[in-house]
Amino acid sequence: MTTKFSRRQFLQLSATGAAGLAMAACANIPVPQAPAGATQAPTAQPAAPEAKVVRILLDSWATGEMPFDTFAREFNESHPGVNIQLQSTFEGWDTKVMAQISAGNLEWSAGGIASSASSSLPRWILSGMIQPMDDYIKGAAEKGASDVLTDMIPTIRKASEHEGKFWGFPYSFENISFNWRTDHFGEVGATAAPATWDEWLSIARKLKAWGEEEKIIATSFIPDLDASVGAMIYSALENPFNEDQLLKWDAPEAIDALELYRTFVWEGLTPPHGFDGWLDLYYAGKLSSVQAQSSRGVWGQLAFGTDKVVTSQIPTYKKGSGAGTAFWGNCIGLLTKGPSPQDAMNYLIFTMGPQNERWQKQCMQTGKTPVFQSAYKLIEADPQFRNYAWMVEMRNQVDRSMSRPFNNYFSIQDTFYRKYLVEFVEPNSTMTAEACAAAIVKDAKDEIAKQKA
Amino acid sequence: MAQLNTQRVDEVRSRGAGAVFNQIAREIVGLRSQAWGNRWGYVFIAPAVILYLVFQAWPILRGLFMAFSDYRWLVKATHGLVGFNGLANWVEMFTDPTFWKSFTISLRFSLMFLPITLILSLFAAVMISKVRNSVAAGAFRVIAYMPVILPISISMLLWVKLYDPQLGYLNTLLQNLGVQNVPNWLGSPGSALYAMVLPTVWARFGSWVLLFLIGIYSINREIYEAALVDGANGWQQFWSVTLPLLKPIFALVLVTGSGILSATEESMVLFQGTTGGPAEAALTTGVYAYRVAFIHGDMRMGYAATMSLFLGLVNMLITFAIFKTLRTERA
Repeated sequence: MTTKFSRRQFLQLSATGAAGLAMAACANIPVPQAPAGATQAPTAQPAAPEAKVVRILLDSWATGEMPFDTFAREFNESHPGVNIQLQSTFEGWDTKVMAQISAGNLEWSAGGIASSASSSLPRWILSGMIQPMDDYIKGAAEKGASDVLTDMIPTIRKASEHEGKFWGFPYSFENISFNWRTDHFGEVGATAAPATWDEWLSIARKLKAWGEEEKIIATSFIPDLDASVGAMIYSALENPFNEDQLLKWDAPEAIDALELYRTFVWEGLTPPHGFDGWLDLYYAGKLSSVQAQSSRGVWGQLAFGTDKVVTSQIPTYKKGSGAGTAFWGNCIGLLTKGPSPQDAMNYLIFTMGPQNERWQKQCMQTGKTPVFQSAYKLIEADPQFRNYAWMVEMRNQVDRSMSRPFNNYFSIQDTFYRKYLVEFVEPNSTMTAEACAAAIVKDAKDEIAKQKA
Repeated sequence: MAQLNTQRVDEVRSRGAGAVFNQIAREIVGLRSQAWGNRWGYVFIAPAVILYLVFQAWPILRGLFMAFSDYRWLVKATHGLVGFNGLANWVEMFTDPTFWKSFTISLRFSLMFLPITLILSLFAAVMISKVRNSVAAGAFRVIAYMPVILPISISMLLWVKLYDPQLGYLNTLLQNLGVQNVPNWLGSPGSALYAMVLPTVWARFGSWVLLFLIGIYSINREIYEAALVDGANGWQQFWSVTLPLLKPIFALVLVTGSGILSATEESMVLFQGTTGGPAEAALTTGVYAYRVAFIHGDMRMGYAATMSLFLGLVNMLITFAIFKTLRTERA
């Protein structure tokens, strides 16, 4: 019997075939596929097979807590020509998006979550990753589209604006608030959150005396600048930012904020450094209060009961003083050169717009505060949502709060704040509050100068 | 054979200059095809070469270029060749006190991590190798190796819980033993760096144990028997037989371990971000570079690439020194 192919011929044929397959695999396929690493959220069912696929990238924590997928399904049902597909962000997704924008073959039309009034939204805008939304909001035929910008809390809207354009559509906002245990406070005769720093210190001392044996800590902060001393400076000054767009560290109120913080630490009214291990303490029921974002209050309610934890405005320097508190919106942006920006915008309005009461209610239930004024009427109208009455107070506070200046330098200030705060509050530290403030400003300015060089 | 070749040359010559020229050309083509070998071989290795070029060589070249450019992610004007700034990043790095502070921290961390892990893993490997019951030996190997299979982030998070100043196991244990002022392991600038060493050793020493075990198991038992006959006790056997024959393993372990100089994730998970721990007491160069590239302001990836390249060069030097010092017939 003779063989038709020699071994060499067989190998040559195989190699040719493999090379052909590899080239075919590299060819531009009309329907873009999900990249390796992206996980597909269970969405977009049912949609007509020929429907236009519109991909949206979202952080998994957001899709985990909010029903983006449910509304994608409903959107697809009511918009037969469009198939919204949600994908979770993956390691290095922003680099991939930027590379695809440069190459002109971007797969996704929208992406999130970016924090307005913090570094991420400015970064996305300045890097050219996202585009303004105004025209797409105007062009949307969805119910509620015309109210998106007018119904939004003005300060929240302003935090998403840059050069007169609207860049990030928030589905909720968070603000720095005072989250406190009613049962602990009740033990020392306090039935309301402290309104001023003096009251805060006084209650904390009483709480320490009461809870010392049980090792209950009176109060705490989270380590971020805008949740700790930064929020205190906010609460003390009408305009907390100087001409360099840094916090006014040299203001007497800022020095007092640092001093008060150190008093809390040195008197053992907070965990070491004001924050070490605060979350474990909180969940263990060993923490009476924490100045943190408002959702942390709902975390406490879920752990201990809705009557046990209340979220209030942060104590202020003097009664009613200050520029409100730090806040941010949890935003989704339309990616630059995305294939279907209008469809993505339509979906965002369909899902997160003011007309979608189910969404707004779900938002409240996760502890995130709605961004539309009209949503707060739901709290009054629905007895089941009376627990969320505190959100009205948060809305009011944010409504009068000052948005952080638009730049990407806040993280620099945060870095040096954290560095020097530890040195400042260490036991037996000889560093003065003035020296601490000066060191933060100097290092921040030096680093910013390097950025501008 | 030589006579045959001479005959052939004469034959070609007899056919004239054209024939000679043609023959020379044929010889050259033949030689060239011999030098290039079988062309199909290139087709077979092409996928691997292409993957290497795209995913290894190109990023290295790009990183090299970035180290000599003012590449800032948020400033488009710095992207590409126009960003080239010569040695400016290097000058900045050598005069940057934070860089030197971070490099010193990285060195200190490495100098604590390497000997501790080396001694512990060698000790564990020798002990496991002495276990005669194969089931028990297997169990010990699994126990030693288990932390390695955990992602480094999970390992570090476990230790964050253990170190918790109020509710952590370590401090609870100390309090139960009567210690009044328990340490704030990760929170105090004085202890943060040391507290970072322990979890890193725990997370990595298992793989070193396995390498040492492979080395020990591959030593010919007859050498030990000969040493025993010569009257060597256990310590002498270890010192004169085991250690010298483990030299290649030492080289391997130290070369792979010297990468700890670039430690980044350990600090970022333990201290939750790029703070570098309390008062930057555990700010390694890796974390500092990460902060410069991905957290601060314009995201100065060019400068961060310079620091990373510097770390890479130091690593190469260390590797060279290790190979020089521990050179054996086999390695």
